[in-house]
Amino acid sequence: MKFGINRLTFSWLVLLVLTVAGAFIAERVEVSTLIVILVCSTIVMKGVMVIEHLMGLRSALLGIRWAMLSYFFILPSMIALSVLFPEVLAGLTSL
Amino acid sequence: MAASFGAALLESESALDQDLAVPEAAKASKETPGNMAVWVLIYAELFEFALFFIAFLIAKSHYPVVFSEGPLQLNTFAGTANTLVLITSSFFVARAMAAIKSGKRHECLTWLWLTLAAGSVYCGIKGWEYSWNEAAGIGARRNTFFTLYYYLTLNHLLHVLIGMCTILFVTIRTHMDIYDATNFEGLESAALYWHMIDLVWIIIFPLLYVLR
Amino acid sequence: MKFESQKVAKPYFIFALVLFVGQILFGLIMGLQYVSGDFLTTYIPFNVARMVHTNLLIVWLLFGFMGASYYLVPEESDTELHSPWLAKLSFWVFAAAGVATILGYLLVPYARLAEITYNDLLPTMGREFLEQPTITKIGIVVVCLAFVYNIGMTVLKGRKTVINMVLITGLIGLSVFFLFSFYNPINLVLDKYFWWWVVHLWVEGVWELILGAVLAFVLIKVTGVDREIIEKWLYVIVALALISGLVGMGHHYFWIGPGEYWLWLGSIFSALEPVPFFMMVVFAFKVVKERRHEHGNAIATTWALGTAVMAFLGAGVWGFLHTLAPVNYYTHGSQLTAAHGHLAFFGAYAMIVMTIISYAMPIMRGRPQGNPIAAQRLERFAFWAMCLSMLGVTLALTVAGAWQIALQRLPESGEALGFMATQDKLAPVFWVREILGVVFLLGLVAYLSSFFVGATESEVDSLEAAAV
Repeated sequence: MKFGINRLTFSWLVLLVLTVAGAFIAERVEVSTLIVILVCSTIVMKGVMVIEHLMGLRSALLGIRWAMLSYFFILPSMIALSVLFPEVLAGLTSL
Repeated sequence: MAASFGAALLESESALDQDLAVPEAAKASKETPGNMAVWVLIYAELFEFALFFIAFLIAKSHYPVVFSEGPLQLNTFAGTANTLVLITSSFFVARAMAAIKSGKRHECLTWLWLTLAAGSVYCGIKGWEYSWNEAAGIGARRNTFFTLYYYLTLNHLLHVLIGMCTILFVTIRTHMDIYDATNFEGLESAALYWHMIDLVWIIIFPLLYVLR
Repeated sequence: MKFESQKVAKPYFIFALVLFVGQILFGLIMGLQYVSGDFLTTYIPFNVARMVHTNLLIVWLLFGFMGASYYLVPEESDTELHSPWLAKLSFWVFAAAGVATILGYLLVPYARLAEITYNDLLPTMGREFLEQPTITKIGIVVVCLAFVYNIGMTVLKGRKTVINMVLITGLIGLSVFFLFSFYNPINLVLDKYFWWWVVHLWVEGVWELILGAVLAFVLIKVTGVDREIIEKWLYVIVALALISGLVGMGHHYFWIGPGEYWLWLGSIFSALEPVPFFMMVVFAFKVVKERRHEHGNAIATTWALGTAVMAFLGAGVWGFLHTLAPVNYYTHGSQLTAAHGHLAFFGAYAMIVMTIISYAMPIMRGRPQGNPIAAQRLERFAFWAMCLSMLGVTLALTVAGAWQIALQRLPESGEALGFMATQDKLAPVFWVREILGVVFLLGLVAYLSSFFVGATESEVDSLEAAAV
């Protein structure tokens, strides 16, 4: 039980650090390919942490856990791709 | 969403193919936090937000100039502060769950009230951000970026308010001694919904404020 | 089946499904006309196809509700139906009137139909969903009166359960609100009010009571959970549905002329409308989880759970998507409305009728523990085919709606595309919708054929043995 609570606190601290890092990027650094991938990776990391540890889905029904996790792999990837290749998306969506 | 629907109907499915499969189904649902209905709700909500995000990305690809200037005009400090507040509230509610599961009702109540406090701080910051925008002459009809910014953030704010009502409801029920170490499904469902609100903001923040 | 008179439900259910097939066929014709305007247009112009599509929907649902009531009220009241003879007679009157009206739409130009039926004596024709000639409307009122009288007398002489009370409240509301269709004020704002008070006060108000009652009935039967628990839930759901629905109706008054306060009232109360639907999901899953026995008719349980989920998605989530006044300012009357309409009508009302059919039909055909396994498998396939394709149709229409809003509604100062130019741009999405519509039809065909997948004696015996 002790470990469980420690894990919660640890996840919380990691999430805070990731958020502050993201904000720092927003303010200071010019956005480049590397930064886009970095920022989207932090979305994935944060999502997985909340799902696995705070929501406690690590031992849940496979279908439910999987659906939640895939949401946080698919959407950030889509965001990264569309930010990196906007012309492709614009081309695809011009009816 | 089909996956959640499938999982949701698992119980009735199993009844047909394997005769009298009650223990099987009961075992499976024990390991999953919350009740099936809240999962239907969570997937529906996440799906709705996914549609908004995709619409945002498509609009962004069509109006690159407006969408790269937009984030620079937003108050990144307010966005960051709100992310920290929401993540912290998610942590609080997770601690509340851990407390009730080990039978510490008073501790659970403290964490629940802290969750509500964090929710209120979030709303306060959002209000301040909107008035800051107004002072800077930013409105929903300025351009597509700001239309979507207001649509997304107002929608999210509405979910925070709904979530706060739900958390308040289960807090009162905890006060009334309805939940304990063996019976906490309602409390857990409310907590899961609250985490979902946090998860959505985890995507909104970089999408609106960071990536340009 | 407890009472012989419950059997009068059978023709109602069968005819409802026949009309359902018609509705889908006309939907497909119209879907094709969206992308290829000339298709069949000399025989079935778009406006006629649309009228037939929506009218068939409403009429088959009414048949379904009547069948459901004739089946469940005697059982709930623990007495025979007051007059099975009257129920049979009104079935034939209603069926004949319905068929004649649809043929009238298809064979005669609408203006001529109005002339033939002496619409000028009491003009009621021409409004969306209420296109029926005045004489048909009078026929509907007569049938409804006979129906409510028959059900009411049965309830009065028998046991008065909560399910019965909720159901009959819904049915009386249904009949009373239909009377608004006879009043056509000259003032356009008033006219709009009365128009909204028929079909929309049904679907956001009294029909929710019918939905809740039928769902509760089926759940009691298939799960064996205590009536007291289910009744408690029903009270809460009904109260929430009425509170949110009656004032939430205000989201229809946003742009028809009345005061601005409706923007607030309509937004706030209609934002609450998903709550009773969500309660139904919680309630259905909770009851199934706490079930006391395994009913042989597993597919009926699937339908009941599916109805709760799809109704929540269609009515709750897709309704909420565009119900707030500032959003609705841009979205009203777009393809987004069509997306919501399709999933809500199917998920809530079409599915509840199929739920009660799935539960009651096997019993009326002498299979108290449901259809044989092969039939249930086919029906399960049909369930998923219809649910998933309807979700697909809804998604396609949602994309079309969002696109339409972006092209036609949001742009200011003359950059906006015209209506027809926008529709042209959306053609690829409309193709996707049409293909998914065909998948839905296949699902429906599978559903209907599941009625004819036969049972051997031994299968019936084994099913019954499993249930004991």
